[in-house]
Amino acid sequence: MSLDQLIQKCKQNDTKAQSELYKLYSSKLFALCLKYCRSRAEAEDNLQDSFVTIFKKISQYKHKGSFEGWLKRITINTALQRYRNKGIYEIINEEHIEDTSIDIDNDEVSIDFLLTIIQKLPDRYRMVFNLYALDGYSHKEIAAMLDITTGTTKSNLARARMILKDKIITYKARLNSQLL
Amino acid sequence: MSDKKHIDRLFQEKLKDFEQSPDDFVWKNIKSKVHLDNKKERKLFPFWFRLTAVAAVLLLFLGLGGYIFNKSNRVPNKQVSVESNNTGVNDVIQNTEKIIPQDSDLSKKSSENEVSKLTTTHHNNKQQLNTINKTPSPEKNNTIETQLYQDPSALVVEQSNVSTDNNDGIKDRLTYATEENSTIKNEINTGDTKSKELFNNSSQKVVSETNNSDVLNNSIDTPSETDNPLIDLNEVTDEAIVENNLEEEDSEDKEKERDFKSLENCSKYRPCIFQHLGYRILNSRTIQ
Repeated sequence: MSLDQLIQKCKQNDTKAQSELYKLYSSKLFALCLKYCRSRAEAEDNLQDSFVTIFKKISQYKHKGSFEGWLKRITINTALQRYRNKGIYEIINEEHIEDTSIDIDNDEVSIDFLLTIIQKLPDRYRMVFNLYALDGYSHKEIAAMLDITTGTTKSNLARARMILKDKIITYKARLNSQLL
Repeated sequence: MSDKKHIDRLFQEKLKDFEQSPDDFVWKNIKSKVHLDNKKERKLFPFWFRLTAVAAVLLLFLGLGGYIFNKSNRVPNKQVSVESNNTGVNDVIQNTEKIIPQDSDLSKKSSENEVSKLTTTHHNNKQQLNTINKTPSPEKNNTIETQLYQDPSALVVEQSNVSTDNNDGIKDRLTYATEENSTIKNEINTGDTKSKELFNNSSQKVVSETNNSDVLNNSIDTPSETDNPLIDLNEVTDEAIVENNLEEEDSEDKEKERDFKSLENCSKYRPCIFQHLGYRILNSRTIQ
């Protein structure tokens, strides 16, 4: 069954087709959720809400652009909505800092470790870093999505990078000390 | 030593093909939630559909029923009213026909036997009629009309009794009855040929009677209750009768106009069902 046929059946509320679609995209979208959320539990909640929205609004998909891109956008929007609804404004340093390139040794760093340090970032930093560094959104787009200025997104991105770098360095240092 | 890389690229490369399958309960939750929403939508749709269907059917019945009732009742009602009118007229005509032969016989007898009495009573009656005609109040006319409409049969009975009984006191009544008959005939549409003939007969009779009375007028002192000369009484009575007829016609026309106006108003302000009821009530009123 082709993807178009699958989408068509999902539009007709076919349970089998929906199950098929879930199997096809759930792992990719779950990875996305893991990056945007604080924990695995939250990521699962987010995935659930995302798929419910997808099945509800699949009739609005007009076969323009990639279907995967459409699914990803819905998932990210759901995560952003969650972030907005929570209204938890963590005390983060709003002081603008210069965007300096931070280089790091390309050593063996596990994906799980990278994921956990992303999840531990403050909400705003995590969102900005994910959107800019991993999903290719511009500062303008991010500013519009999060309802902040581009200056703030740039500053947030720089801070997120610094935090991540520090964590990777300390992680490596601990690994080295353990090895020694 | 390992080569240095931008931190963004490190994350990008590492997380590019990262996939992780979620737990099974996530799919179960999604399934149940989507299913529930679908059920809700399915339940909502019939509910609305039923409501709208019931409303539509009710409206349809009301509208169609009102339309059919109005359409079916209007034509039969008109027919009934016309028939009833015709029967009423025929009855009156028959009554007058019955009365007239008797009257003619009796009047001949009376004219032969007691002309003076008759003339006096006749004049009295005429004067009374004149006074009635002179007064333009429609209420009196109406009362007389009603009496006349109701009386004929009674008059016939009276007259039949009269023919066997004494002539003296009853002749007054008889003459009065002839007058009444003539007026009744006038009230009945003069368009009817029968009634016209009858009217002519009665008026001729009246003329003959009054001619008889004119001979005796010189010797007999007539009671002068009114200012009109007695010689012109015939003409006056005829004129008065015609006037009376005209007045009656006018009043009838006015009544019809009023009814039509009220009908128009009811069609403007009443809903179809009540209009139909109102139409019936008004129709029955016009028949009366």
